[in-house]
Amino acid sequence: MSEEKLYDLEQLDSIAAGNPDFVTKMVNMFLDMTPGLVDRIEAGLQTQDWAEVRSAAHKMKPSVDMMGISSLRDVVRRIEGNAKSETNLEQIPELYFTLTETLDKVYEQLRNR
Amino acid sequence: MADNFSVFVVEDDEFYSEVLEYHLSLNPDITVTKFTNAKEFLKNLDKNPDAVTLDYSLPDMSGEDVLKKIKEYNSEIPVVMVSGQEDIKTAITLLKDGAYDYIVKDEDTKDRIWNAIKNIREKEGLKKEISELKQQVKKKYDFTTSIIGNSPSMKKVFAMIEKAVSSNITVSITGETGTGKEIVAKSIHYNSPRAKKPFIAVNITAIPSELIESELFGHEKGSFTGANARRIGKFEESGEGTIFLDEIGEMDINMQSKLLRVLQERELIRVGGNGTVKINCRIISATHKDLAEEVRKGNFREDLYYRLLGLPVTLPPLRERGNDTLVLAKHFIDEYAEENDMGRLKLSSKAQNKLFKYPWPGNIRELKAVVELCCVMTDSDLIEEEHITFNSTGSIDTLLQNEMTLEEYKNRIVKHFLDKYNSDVVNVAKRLDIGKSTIYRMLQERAV
Repeated sequence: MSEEKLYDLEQLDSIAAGNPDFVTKMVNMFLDMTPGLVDRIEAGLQTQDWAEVRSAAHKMKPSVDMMGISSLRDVVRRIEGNAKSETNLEQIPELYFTLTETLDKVYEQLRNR
Repeated sequence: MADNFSVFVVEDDEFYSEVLEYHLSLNPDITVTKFTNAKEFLKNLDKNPDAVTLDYSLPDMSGEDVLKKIKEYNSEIPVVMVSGQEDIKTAITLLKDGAYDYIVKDEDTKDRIWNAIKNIREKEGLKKEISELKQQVKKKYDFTTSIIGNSPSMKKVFAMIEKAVSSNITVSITGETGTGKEIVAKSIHYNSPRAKKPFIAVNITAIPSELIESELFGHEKGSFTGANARRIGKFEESGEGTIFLDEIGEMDINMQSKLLRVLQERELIRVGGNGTVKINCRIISATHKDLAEEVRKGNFREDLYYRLLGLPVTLPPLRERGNDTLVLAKHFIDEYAEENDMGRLKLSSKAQNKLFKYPWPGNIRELKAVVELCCVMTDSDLIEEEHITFNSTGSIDTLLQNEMTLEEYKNRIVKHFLDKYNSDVVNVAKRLDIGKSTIYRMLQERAV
């Protein structure tokens, strides 16, 4: 199964300055941390707790950017922005769906990299 | 630069703080300590980090409040604020509250933080260097070591300096050229509570009289041809420090009244300006002239004289300082030998005698020059009489070097006075305490 690579570790590589252990550590950290944040967004969605949605999405931004998951860059920001301003809330479930779907693929790809 | 530089990273996002820590630690001199909340961080503030990167949105406290707490504890700690959002208003508030920098989290953040930390390190390095240099300067002008002498007349000078150091009084220094007036002024400044503020020396004779007002008080843009920008004068430059007005006796009479006004009002008006500027500096003046005499002759304003007089310090000429000549000579020899990696040099007793007998019209400055020349001239570790050469411009000395007979010297002296006093024989006879007839006889013999 050949699908397009959804992440890009170029930035982490450049920070690592030739130390592969650092990249591995950060990838593992991302894999550990992100599912919890996704759960928080889902819980927030169910209880209409927009502050919780906003905060979880906010915390996801740096890691999504750093892992070079470009297709999620805007998605995370829109979830955060909409939840913050409490406008276009009806778009959030769909954005959330895109988020989880993409992340599942990213997890898979990262584990097999 | 400091060897070990400690950075506290306060960041609740573990992923991000991990990246920051790793990135900063690439520089082996930097030690990073991570904190995920404000409470934990504030507890450790007494470890005095060299710099802090602070996330604006922490779970337990707003970045603004944490910043205030840091600044309350020690306003010197540089804090780099890192925020998820770009918000100009917040940024301005934080910078006003004393943040060193405000950085938004994006792809370039790590580089910006890296640069900010680099700048902070450089700045800290410079700060330390400056304070070390200030210490050195202070040591240099510790008057117990920079001014040398044991003679009774110098002991009086030391007592006066000590009085000047502990008070804020205006000081006037009088002494012949080369007696060390500027060193005394610096010693007073660098031992006074103003030591960390500037010491500004102005030599009145070195500035053309038409420029002196703008030099001292500054000027506004366009106040005269060539004034194409506002310029701060020496009085303003010295701020809360000390201004040293050297050769004050040479100031022309117009300028004297302007200076008097400034000293009376403790405020000045820049050339071409309207507004007044307060002055706060201590004033030390110096002259080689007898100012009281200048006042009598009408060359110096009496009111300004009293305004400047304050605590008068009179520096004795070297010829009245007895054994100090030799003490100082030895000091300069040691100093020169050390600077030039020469071994220890000694003065032969004949050489000492020669130095001791000379009248030193150029005082310590001349002594230093003569002694340094000796150090160069000698081929051994002993300085002999013949290594000492006086190049004084003093007229007495030049006259003596002519090696004339006593009769010839006598004629020379009488002629000098007759020239000076328009051949007024009565006056000259009185001044030289000789009979009028002696002078008439000399005139008859065409000896003068």
